[in-house]
Amino acid sequence: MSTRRWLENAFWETSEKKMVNCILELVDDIGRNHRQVMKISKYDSEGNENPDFSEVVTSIGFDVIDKNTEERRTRKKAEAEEKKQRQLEHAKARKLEQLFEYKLEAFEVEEIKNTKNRPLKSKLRRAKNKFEVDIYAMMIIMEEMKRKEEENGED
Amino acid sequence: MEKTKGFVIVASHKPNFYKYAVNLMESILDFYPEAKITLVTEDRFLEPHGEEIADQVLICEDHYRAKLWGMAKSPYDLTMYIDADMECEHEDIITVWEQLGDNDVMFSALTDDRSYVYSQRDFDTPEGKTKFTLCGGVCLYDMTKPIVKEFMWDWWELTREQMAGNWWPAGYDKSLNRWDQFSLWWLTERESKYKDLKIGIFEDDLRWNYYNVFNFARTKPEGEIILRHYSGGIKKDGYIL
Repeated sequence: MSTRRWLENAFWETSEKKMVNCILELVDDIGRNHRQVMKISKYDSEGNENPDFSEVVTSIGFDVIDKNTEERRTRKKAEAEEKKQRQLEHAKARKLEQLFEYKLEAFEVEEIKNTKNRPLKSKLRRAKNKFEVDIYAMMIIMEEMKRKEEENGED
Repeated sequence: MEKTKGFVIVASHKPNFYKYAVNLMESILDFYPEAKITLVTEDRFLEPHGEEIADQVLICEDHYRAKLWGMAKSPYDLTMYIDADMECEHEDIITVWEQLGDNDVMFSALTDDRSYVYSQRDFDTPEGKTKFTLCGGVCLYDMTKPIVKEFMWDWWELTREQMAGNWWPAGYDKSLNRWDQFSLWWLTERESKYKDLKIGIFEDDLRWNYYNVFNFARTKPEGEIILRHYSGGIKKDGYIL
């Protein structure tokens, strides 16, 4: 014998609660199971009440649909927040990689590579952005130039 | 007598790894000025600056997995091997030796919840499906134990043989032969002589090997990152294994 039932997880499609999003489960005479996702409006195009809508609401219950809608809204909001956070972290990680490569290029500059000023070089390594890298790189280069000048002056 | 302690860093095959290695050495010294570091590299890459900051230098051959040779050649009793493309960013690097406990060898872990950054982790064996569980990006080990020394040499020899096509077990997908994880898996899971090797995982292991390709919103350590791994960086493929 064929049967039909509305699954319990229905939720309101609109805040006015004039459309419900639901799943109809049908089992045919030989036991085959079919599920249909449906959006059912309270009124048809001519303004008449839709009997399917009443059937869904009566079968599942107004309160249950309200509760499902609220839970879904909370879940979707959390998912969207998590997705946003992941995208943010992904972008931060890419930026960090680029900064890492940028620092390695700075360390290839002879004056920076060979500086004995380890604290300053360490600051460059810990720099949080390219601007900071440039500043510390400049400081090291200037210090090295000055040191060389002094050495030449002593000669 | 107290055991000697030091780091082993290997830069082979590609010039970029030498640059990474020098940066890694300096970053360790930023937080741990007394650290002893052995740099293993090829003669063609070695520069005076790298030689100057390393405690000692060992010259290796041009091999993609020369890291395993370097690990086996460690001059230190307690050795912390770190992949060259990593950077130290926390003072807790000094506490690394306390991590070993009564283990022989320690790694970081490959886990299901981190699998979104692994290109190949699951594989078929004649006995059914299995997966890699150990990550060789960092490895802390005690070379005073004969079993550890032998293990390190076996890992290198087996990897070299497998990559050269001289060794491969029947029933395993040949594409796995590019991974030193496979030789590691084989030795730890199939070699009876290593059944008693005590293998541990670093406590809060993400602190000790945090791949930058991890999404921090999804995968993060409990404490602050000590060693960051740029393995999936912009000049690579985005995967760590």
